[in-house]
Amino acid sequence: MTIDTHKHYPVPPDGCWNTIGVWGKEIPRCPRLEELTHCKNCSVFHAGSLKAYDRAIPEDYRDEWTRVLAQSKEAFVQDSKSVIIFRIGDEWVAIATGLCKEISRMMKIHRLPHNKSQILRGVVNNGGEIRICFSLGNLLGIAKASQVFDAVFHSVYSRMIVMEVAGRPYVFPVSEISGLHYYREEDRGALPKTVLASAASYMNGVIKWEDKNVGCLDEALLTDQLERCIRL
Amino acid sequence: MLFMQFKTGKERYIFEARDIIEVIPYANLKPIPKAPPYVAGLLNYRGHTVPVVDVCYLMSDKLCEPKLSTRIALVNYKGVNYKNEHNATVCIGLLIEQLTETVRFDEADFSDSGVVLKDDPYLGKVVIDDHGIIQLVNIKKIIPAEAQDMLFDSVI
Repeated sequence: MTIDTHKHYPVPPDGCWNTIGVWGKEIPRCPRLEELTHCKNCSVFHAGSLKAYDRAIPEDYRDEWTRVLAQSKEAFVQDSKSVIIFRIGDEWVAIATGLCKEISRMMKIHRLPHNKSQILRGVVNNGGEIRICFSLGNLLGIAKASQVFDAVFHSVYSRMIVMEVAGRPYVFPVSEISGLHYYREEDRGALPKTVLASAASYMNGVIKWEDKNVGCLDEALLTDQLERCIRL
Repeated sequence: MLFMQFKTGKERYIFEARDIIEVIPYANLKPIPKAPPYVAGLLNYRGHTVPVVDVCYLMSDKLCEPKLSTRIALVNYKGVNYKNEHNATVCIGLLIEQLTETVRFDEADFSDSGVVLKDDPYLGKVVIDDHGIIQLVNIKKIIPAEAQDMLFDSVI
């Protein structure tokens, strides 16, 4: 729904959104809600928000912004990397955001006849296109979850990540997605010796996220293995 | 096309958004002694000095009021840079009142205003919406010719 800025209504001084709008409980309700669903779609609210700018600059505001604008911001952007952190079983894993094309709901995996591979799971219908689905958990040798995660997090949803390596899209299911995370190259540590040899061969380091150690998938190593395991 | 809208008094004007680098709050500016009143001062933007011009003063002879809605649009401007290279891209700040909205119009929506001022060549075509007439401002022409040497010699 678009903002109906083309219609012009006066803005009431106390803000109708706080009385007859979605932030108020007064009856009768605003008749325009039926059409617009939420005050944020309304031109009165839009005009009201612009009025909030039309006041004197608070103390320290200019000083603070002068400081912020004087600082160079390139330095941080240059050496920070973006990853998507997700969970497979008990393990938290990070993948470069650039590799991910899409995060989608769980799709039905169609098994392939005579396929005995633990890694190749089958194909999925991803928006009308056939994509190869593999098990990253099996590739990394991660066992099924031993903890009950649902008790800790209110809503845990399995998802599928569509990623593209070497120009080919692949799909793999994950137990949960945490979201985007940024880290700096110097914050990435070496893999501990105790990491499973199978998992270690696809990772190029460990980053700290909250109180967890998250293994970073290496694009080149992963591509190599995928191409080898799933020969087309 | 996307345009940035601003107001001087109650009148609405727009300029093309594609030249804008960033719209920033009204930060403290270092005044330049003896500069004309439309030179608001120098801004330290990420370690570079950027001259800031008061567009309100250029258009209506009134200095911008220090309000939250008064902001600075940093724009790319073709001019002469400090190395004396002509047609180099330089960054300049435009201090403008009520710089709070973007609007979209098609090129076909515009019509000639019918009035061309020789002294103010920056005022361009007009467009009409439900609230009235909006005039297009050419920010490339808004800085007076005599000010251009003075401003761009200092720009990095």
